[in-house]
Amino acid sequence: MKFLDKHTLNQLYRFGIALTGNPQDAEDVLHTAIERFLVKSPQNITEKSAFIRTIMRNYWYDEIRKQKNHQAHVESLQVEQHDTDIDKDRLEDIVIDQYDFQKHWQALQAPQRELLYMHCVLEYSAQEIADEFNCARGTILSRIHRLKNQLKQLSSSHLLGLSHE
Amino acid sequence: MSKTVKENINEHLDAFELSSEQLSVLDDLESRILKTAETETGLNKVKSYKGFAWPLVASVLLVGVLMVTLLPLSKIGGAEGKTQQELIYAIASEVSYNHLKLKPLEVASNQLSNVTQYFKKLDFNPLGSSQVLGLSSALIGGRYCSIQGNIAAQLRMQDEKGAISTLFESRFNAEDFGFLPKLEAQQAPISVHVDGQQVKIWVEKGLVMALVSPISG
Repeated sequence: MKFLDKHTLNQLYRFGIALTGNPQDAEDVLHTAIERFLVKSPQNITEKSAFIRTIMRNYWYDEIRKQKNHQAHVESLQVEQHDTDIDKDRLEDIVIDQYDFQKHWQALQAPQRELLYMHCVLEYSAQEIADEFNCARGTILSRIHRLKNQLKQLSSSHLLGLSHE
Repeated sequence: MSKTVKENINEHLDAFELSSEQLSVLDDLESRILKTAETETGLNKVKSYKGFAWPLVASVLLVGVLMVTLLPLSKIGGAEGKTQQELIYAIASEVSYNHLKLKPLEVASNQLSNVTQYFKKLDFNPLGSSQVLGLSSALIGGRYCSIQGNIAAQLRMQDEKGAISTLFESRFNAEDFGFLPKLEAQQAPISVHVDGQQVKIWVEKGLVMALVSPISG
């Protein structure tokens, strides 16, 4: 493509997989987002990838909403708005069994996978994620805190011998 | 093996990469949209200079007509300069690929009315076809897709032996599909074999239709 190189397209595709949980839907979402971006051909966009990610996200959540499952996701994410210090015990540094991670990855909700992608792959800070999601930093910190606890639990259950082995 | 979350997620996602086929679909999409945008820009310019542009427009049209008349293998304007034959195979390959992928149905029903009601984003109504007699009895559901960048519906059917066929329908767009046979003009559907599947393509009731089914025998 003229306007996006292969590396960026693959990054967006992987974001799509993180968002939707599977390559088939990721392909659909990426295709739709690029089509919408090209048709709109917005001027003065410096961060094309971030703009396309937003289109992908909006489109995917619209699709979920249509299937009436999204409400449950949203409600489950309306967690406490208190700030949590994520730097003491960083989410990305939790050690977890590879098999358990892959199993758990599929079971995560779309916003959780998306959050992990932005935090661990793009290495965005809580503030940067909040900027892209257009929400408060505290909300992102709460979500990270919850996700961290969830993954820690998984990690400790593995250490206690409660995992697949 | 235990790894950090960061290592796990990077390793997991790095395993996924767009295939050359998927990249080429995106390339086609970009070319088509850019071409449409250029055409629209051109039309706008013509509108703004209409006071003295008519002789120029007439000359361009004349050259266009001569080219179409003189070229034995006419190029299709709306499909990045592909010949009819290339375009037929592009459509057939695209629908065959979508048929074989068996992506999850977005609406599952054996009632055509239920399935067609689901397709609210389309600018046409999916219809039954005289070429697909088993549609009402074998229908199992449908989902959105596209044919050469035009939004389309796919209706999936399964016969009593379990064989899957897919009927694709898209709005007739003369620029992309004008060369396809029209049933109403007593023209027979084009039939080609792609990926071990039989693909029939035709225009009926103002819709482009493509049927992908296993090759019998």
